[in-house]
Amino acid sequence: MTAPSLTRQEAEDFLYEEARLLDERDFFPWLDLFTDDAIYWIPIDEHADPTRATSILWDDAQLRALRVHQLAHERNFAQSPPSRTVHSVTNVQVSPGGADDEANVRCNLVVYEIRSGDHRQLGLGDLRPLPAKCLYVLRYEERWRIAHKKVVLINRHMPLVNLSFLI
Amino acid sequence: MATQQATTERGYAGLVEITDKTFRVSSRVYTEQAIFEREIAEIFEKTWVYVAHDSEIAQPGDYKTAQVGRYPIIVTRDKGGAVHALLNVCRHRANAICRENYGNSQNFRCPYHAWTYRNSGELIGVPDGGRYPQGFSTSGLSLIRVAKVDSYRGLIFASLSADVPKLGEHLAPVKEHIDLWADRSIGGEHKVLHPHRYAYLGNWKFQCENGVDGYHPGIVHESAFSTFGEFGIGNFAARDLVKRGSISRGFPGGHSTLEGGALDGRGVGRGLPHRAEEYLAHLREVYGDDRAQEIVSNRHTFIFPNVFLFDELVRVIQPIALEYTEVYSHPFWLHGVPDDFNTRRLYEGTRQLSTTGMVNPSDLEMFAANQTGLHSRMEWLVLDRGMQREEIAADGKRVGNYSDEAPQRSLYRHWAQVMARAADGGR
Repeated sequence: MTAPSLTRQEAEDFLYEEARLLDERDFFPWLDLFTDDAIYWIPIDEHADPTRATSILWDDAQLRALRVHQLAHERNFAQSPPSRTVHSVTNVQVSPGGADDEANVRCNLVVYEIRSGDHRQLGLGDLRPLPAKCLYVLRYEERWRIAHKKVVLINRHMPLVNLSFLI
Repeated sequence: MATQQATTERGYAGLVEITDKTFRVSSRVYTEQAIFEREIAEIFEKTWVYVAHDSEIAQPGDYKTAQVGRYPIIVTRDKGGAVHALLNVCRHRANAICRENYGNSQNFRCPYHAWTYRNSGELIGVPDGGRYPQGFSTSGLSLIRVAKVDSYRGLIFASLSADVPKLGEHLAPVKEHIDLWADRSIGGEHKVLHPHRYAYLGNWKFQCENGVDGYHPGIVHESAFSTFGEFGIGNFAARDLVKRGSISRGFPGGHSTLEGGALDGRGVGRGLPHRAEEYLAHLREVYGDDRAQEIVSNRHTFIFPNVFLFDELVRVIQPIALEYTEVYSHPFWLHGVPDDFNTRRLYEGTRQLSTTGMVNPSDLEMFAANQTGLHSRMEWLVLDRGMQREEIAADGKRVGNYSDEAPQRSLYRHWAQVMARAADGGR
């Protein structure tokens, strides 16, 4: 299928919509943003082969579905109380993809996350910013979908904490 | 302060109260700064601690920095292949000479005044050395060596005190289980990868206890297990956890295991049935049927005080502060098995035990909640579970049901011994 060329404004609209779905915890439509063969990867070494190196997250379609399913479970203690997030997307750049029906999109992302509950308790009440560079491969399948998503956190070598929400 | 006084009067051994039916641990072991500092000084800075795996510094010149108690160290492999554990401290003005976590270098040059050391420790360069008084010698100014360094099956341990039993003696109670873990590689050693690092707001001992706690998984991880179940992944649900062949063990020396029992799609074969059969067949050829079965069984082995050997990863515990702990979670590659088998093990570890994983973040949440509750100073924690039913062998090894607290009791029996020894000055 020949894809229409992706403009920066269209890429921004796409990424803003993904951010909205995540921030509103509308996770099932978020799953539909991905192609069936898409990989979502949060590396530690961004240049490594993910089949052979330590990763923070490596999800195929089934793992994304598992994750969303668990997020909806009433006894998911890592998400009790649940995370509130703001996904802030900037610095969007579009370049040609590796195939006719693909486009590469690079952006910066800062996710702000907090779990309130009884905020005086340890582990709760901390507002945590997670700055990252994101690299997307979007593929045109009647509409633009995510064929690959890579989130490179700037603190990926540091001790991380409960990241049981979606970045 | 009343609590400090109580500690002194009753001694550190008094923080663990044992009768034939009860095993109680004082909440102060998690909440008193003085106790934490004594743990660092007496356990982490005076006994064997895990610092690296051979494969992390496989090539000549490879190094890894680590922290033993509060001491920054470098573990190096010199050009002859020998392993050195050195303080990461310049002999001039005590600057840390190496600021990276991993790398390869024949020399270390102090960034402050460029005193330069070989990776085996010798001082080989002092800029503008003529300014030092006559008789100034570099020969006594090598990097300070960690008193003891030794390894077993690729696991490198170090002790800042020379006054320790041989490593073999320290590991003896749990040696059989280290062998079962290491024998999963066929014709070689595991390759331990760089870590995923995480941290939690709680005392370091929570992680030691929890990795061999078979009572919590069906409860804390219910959302993970029921999700796996609904997607037909793995074949264990909460109700199946306490089953025949699933046991916990506590050993003298504070070591312990939690063993998931016979092969049932878990252990190293988890998540890849056809390859598991192939792998098991290979193991049977090499080790025979019974041992092969033992080798592939799901098993967590805790080596006191700071390392776990899991099916998919090595987990290293680093106490930083009384209520703040770092953990370094290293996936490892089995030698002599197909790459896709290792990749599936890698993904399995990430899916469950990463900070984004479906299992581990809930544990971290429990640690923070546990530390929060302990601020109440509720006096005693209850570790009696399974006490009257555990088997006690002549060598002091105790075997309990999967959900018993035999591992935790073993940890605190040894903990109390080490802490009391220190308090008595009997060293």
